[in-house]
Amino acid sequence: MLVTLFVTGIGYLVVESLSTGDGPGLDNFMRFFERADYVAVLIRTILVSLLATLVSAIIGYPIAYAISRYRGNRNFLMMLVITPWLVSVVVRTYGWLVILGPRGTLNSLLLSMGLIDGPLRMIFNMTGVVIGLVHVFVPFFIVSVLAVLLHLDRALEEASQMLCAGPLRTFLYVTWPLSLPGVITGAMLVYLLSTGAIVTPLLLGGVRDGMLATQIYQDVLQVFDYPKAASMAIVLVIVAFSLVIPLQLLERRVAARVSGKGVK
Amino acid sequence: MNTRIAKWKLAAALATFCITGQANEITMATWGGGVGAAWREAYAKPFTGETGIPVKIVEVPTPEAQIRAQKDDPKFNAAISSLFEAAQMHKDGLLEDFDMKDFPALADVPEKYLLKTPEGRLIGVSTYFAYYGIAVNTDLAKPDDFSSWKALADPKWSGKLSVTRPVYSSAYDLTIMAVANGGNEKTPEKGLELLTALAKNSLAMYSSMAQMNQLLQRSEVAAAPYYSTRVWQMKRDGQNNVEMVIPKEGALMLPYMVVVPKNAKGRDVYMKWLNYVAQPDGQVRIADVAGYLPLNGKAKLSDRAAKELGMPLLELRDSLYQPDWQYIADNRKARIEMVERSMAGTGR
Repeated sequence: MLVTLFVTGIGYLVVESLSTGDGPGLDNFMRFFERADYVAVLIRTILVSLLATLVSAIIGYPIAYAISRYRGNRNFLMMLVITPWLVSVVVRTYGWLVILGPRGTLNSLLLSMGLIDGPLRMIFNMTGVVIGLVHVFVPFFIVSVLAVLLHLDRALEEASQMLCAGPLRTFLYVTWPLSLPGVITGAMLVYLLSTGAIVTPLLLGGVRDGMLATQIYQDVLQVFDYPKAASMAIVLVIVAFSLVIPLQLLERRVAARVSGKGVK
Repeated sequence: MNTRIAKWKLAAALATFCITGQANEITMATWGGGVGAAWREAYAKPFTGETGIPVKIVEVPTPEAQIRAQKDDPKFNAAISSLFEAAQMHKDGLLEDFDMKDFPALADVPEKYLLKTPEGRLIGVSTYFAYYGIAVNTDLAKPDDFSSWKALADPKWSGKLSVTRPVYSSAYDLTIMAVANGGNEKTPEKGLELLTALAKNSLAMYSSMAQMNQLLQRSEVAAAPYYSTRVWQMKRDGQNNVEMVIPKEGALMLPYMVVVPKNAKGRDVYMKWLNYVAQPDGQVRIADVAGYLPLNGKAKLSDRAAKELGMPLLELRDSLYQPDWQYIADNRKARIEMVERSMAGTGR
């Protein structure tokens, strides 16, 4: 059922993207790639999404690891991780303006301590977009990794330590490889969600920090140019799959390897 | 189980009823952000009181998007619209048009604020206006600093201004900036350099009124081209550090009108509604509750509204620049592309 809906949706997008005034054609795609500003938006979308994914991994993995090893009320910690989901993304994003804006808490603190001469520009640029995306999407990464770490057979780590491997060696050769399926799933989720982000780039980006999804949003809801928006959506889907498919293949390979079944 | 199914059926029926406009009532789409509430207070309640016809005001992000989405089966029989949106929608066959004779009160509205087809048919009823000038945060700048639109290009304001998205700046900013440089809406290239300089000086590109209000209220930006009604509302809410400036080259007139989607239900009731919004009474009330100003020349502002305005209503109305919105609508996509390319810093 879900697959049918997905395929029907993509099919509709393809048909819409090929519609021109003179019958089916690739005009919408050609017009997209002829415009240097749109190509720049596409490249920025990929870069920002990759950066948000990397930062989410760096922040999210240690948190997931710490929760999985916590001996107390683990459910409470998991609740803390997903609590931001209970607040509207718009409200959460506006919160960053209060904290990181030119007149925000952090700049006021640094100025009052005499550490800076003028406000630092931490939002309304690419940095702001990445901070916002990581804040919104890092729980997805944490939950993905945590799900794997919680099901990890601890006897394997104990066996490693009994064979004289220290905690670092055990982590690098046992825990990390076994948790890779969760890392890959989390990375895919964060990357895909980042490529489709609208609110965060709109509110935390600068004049030249638009992303492809915000452009699509504008063309659908404000300009009503559906064929153009559909062609951009197809480009976005291709961009998303160009990373997700290799990652899925890698995930399958890693999963087969850690389960000792090898790769067919 | 049957009871549960019956409940679901009842809920579905109620939902359908709530969305679908009835032939004997007005279901009108308005923007959010206080516009819907103002319409209920200024127009809907008194109209229902006088005629007994129920009016349902539905706040949506973009009334135009609703009309386009419901092209074959309109759920609304009225919607608020700017003139350039209405011109585009009518061109696309989405709106009803009318005979001027059906609206005697429009005789008191100057011809240039009415939108008509080439055949002279009326596209909706113009009811009130706002204007597009420069909103200034007086903690960071003096109103006199922005006595000209050209001041927005001064590098001393780098990182201290804001600009709206190309979809709106291509219609509003580009037009009034072309005027400031001796051109008009038909010579947008005359305003492009100034708009690009404003974008370079801008800390952020605002995408909603709430965002721009926050930037001004928190003193994050010193100034931005903005809507008079928003500044009026901020001041009414006690925000004393925001002022609206009409630069010496003038401000842009933004008339608003009520339009009727093509094949909308209930012609009898929506004709009464359109006639009602053309009258001065409702226009005077909405000036009191939301700062929109009457287009009907017979409207007399309340003492409070007149004091807040600070100048005679007709003097203000007639000093504002009224472009050819039909021309702007006809060239909408080309103008947006021009602004997008320019703001991105590419001429390709």
